[in-house]
Amino acid sequence: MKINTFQHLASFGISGVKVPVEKIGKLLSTKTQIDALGGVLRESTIEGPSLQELPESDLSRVNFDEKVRGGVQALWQPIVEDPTEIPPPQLLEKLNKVWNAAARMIGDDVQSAARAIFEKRAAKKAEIIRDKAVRLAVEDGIPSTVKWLQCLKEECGRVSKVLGQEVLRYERRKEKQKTLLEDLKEDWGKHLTKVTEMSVEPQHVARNFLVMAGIVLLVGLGLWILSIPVNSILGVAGVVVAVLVALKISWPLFRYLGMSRQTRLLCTRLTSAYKAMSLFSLDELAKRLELEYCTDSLPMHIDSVITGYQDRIISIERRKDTLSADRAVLHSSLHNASATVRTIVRDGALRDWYTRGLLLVPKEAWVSELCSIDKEPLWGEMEEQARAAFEFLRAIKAEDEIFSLYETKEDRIAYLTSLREAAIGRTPGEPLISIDFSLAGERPMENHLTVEIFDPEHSNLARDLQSAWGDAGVGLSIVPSMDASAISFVGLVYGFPFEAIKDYSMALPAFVKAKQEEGDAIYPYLYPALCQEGGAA
Amino acid sequence: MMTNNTDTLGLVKPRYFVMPTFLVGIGGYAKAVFPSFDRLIHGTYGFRPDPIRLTIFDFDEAGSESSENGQKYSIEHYLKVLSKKTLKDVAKKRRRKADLPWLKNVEPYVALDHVWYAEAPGLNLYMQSGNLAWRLGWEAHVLPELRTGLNGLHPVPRELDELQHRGFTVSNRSCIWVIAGGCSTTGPTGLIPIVAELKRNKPPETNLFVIVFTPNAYRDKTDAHRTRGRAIFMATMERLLGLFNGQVFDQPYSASGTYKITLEEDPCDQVFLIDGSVSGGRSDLKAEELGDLVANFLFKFAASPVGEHQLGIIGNLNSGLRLAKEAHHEN
Repeated sequence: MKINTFQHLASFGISGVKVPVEKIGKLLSTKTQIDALGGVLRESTIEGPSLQELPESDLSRVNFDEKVRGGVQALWQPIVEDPTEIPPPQLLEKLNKVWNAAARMIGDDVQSAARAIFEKRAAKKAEIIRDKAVRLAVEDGIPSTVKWLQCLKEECGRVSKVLGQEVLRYERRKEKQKTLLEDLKEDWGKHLTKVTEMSVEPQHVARNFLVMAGIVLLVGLGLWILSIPVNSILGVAGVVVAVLVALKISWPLFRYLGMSRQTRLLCTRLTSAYKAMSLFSLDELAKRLELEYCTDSLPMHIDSVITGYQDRIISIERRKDTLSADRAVLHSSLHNASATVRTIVRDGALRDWYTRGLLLVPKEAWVSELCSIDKEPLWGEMEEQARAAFEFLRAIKAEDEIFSLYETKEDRIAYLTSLREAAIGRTPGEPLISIDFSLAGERPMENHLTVEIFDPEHSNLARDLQSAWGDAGVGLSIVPSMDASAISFVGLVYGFPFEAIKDYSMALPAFVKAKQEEGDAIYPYLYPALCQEGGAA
Repeated sequence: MMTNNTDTLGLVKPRYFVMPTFLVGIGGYAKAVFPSFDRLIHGTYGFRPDPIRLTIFDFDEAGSESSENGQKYSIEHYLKVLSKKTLKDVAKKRRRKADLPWLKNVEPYVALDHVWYAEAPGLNLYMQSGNLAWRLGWEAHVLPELRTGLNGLHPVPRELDELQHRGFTVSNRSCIWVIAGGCSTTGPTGLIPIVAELKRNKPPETNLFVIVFTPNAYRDKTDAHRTRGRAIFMATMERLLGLFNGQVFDQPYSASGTYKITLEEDPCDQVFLIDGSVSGGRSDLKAEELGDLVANFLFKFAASPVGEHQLGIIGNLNSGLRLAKEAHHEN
């Protein structure tokens, strides 16, 4: 081996100390997210407002009632005020016309429109419920809110039962009114027949009245001419006969007068019955819509909110599980580092940093976002915000942590000496290699130790190191680090002969033996001349 | 790595430093280093900047990876698996004593009688198999990869602008590191031609370093492997250090002999020997731990101004070396 003229083999070593701020930041930001998620998943007992206590979004239902009822009433009002204005034979026809007009007013189109109003009302009510749910979820957690929503749904069921009974009552009332109306119509028909039968002409009534008056005058004149006293038998008889004759003649007139009164009465009752029937139909319709609102529309909306929150719980739990798994991995790998790199993680510092970061995390905004089911939570954004809250960790200095752990200079230097040995060797000159100094010792080896530390000009630790190691036969350089959280020691050893490595003593016999057995074939390549000289076995 | 500019809140604003670096791994030990290096680069920058280039050559297709926080960094994207098919044909024909005229030009440089082939991963400590195998695949697979790595080492102005726009400070120095095991087959047989090829093709201002793992770093191997590995290590180092002592590397690296690598100067700036012992042999590192530490060192070199500082130290040492060599030759 003709290699002993070569004197400049080298080796290196590296060691260091670091505060794993990236991992700590991720760990703490993960913890803040887990805590926030846990917060919205907490169970508590809450007394949310009942369905009745929740405000209505607007007066659409009331307006509907009033508007339609007002319209129906306006249709009937002229007839109801003076039904006798209508000739009795035309009354039924007129009433039926108004009835039809009123029926149209509460007919299919109007009912569809009314149903839409009620559905809109349910949607608006659901919005109110949703808003209230968000507030409750923020204050008391989503599971409690789901329970409250389920209570609202149950309340809808109870109200529906009551409304169902009312609808039945309205139906019965309407049926009863219908029967009454039919009776009245029948009575009216009979009455109208009677009126028609005795139909008294006005000139006939006037003629009878004149005849009656003429008879009375003739009787009175006869008694006066004949000088018959009225109080005589003849006078009395004459007057009686005259009165009877007059009554006989004018009786249809009185009957006619009596019939007119009955007509008016029947007319009023019939009109009122028609009107009541219209309004009862309207009331029944409104009640049915109310029932649909409480039985179908509103529960459907509440169901959608409940489903939204149940899905959200699943989504949050899933995210929480993922984050918890991440946290476990991070926690277990917090001290993972290269063999010669030490990590510093103080429990007290972790608590302080967590508290500090927690103040910077937009936790309220997160909770609001998690409790709102309008859109899916933006997990990536949340993660980014959490990470940003712990950005301050980038300014954490490894030096400060070392000072927290080791208060005296002696302790600090003792702590760092093991790292120095890992970088440059216990006896300087053996970083990641063992050297036989009896061979290498003739010429001093070049040993350089570069310490990379943040802001060395203002670093107390750099001053400590300089005073402790600056004059120990090792070229010490302290250079500025770009990473405050780490201090690195890079050893560079140079200038030992190949024979000085500890492997050499074992490798040489193996090489000699192999060369004896296979000649130059042990080399990675052959020189032509050597090939001829040594030859293969 | 971040630099310490502060923002308006007094917080440290991320700025990055990168020294253009081409890491060339040869054989299995490089597979313990590169994934860790890639992990550190990605952990710092979030991606691997273009001026940091990785290539591993191996005759064994086995992969390796490093992982952190569920993220895996595999070598599959930059592992160049070299074919052993032609080597197998040659070994078979040599056993049958068949004439191989097309190998005539390389015959003086390869002990063809010692070319063996085994149906197993790698080259199985058959040095001449490695010696031949590299030559057979050089022009087609090795040379283009090395040229690509060298061409992309220094970013063009557009890439430089883009990197600066992303917060990078790009060093005007650059390094090539060749990492090879010294006690196997692929590393020892590929190391010198690759170093010679890089040396003659690299930009003059680029530093070229070699890291060789010594026999002690092969603790997990069998005794037989380690014994033969020691012999291979010694043979390889003799050849490598011979180049520093005036030997000329002038070898054909194609079957036809038309492509030659010739080097008449020091093959590299520095040879780093690593045996994986710490504190003068008081404790030994496992292969994985050692790979991780070497990766840490390379990362520090490539991603921190410490690299430039180290280059300064090495530059001073090498100028001293030149004077010493001149004095030695005069004597």
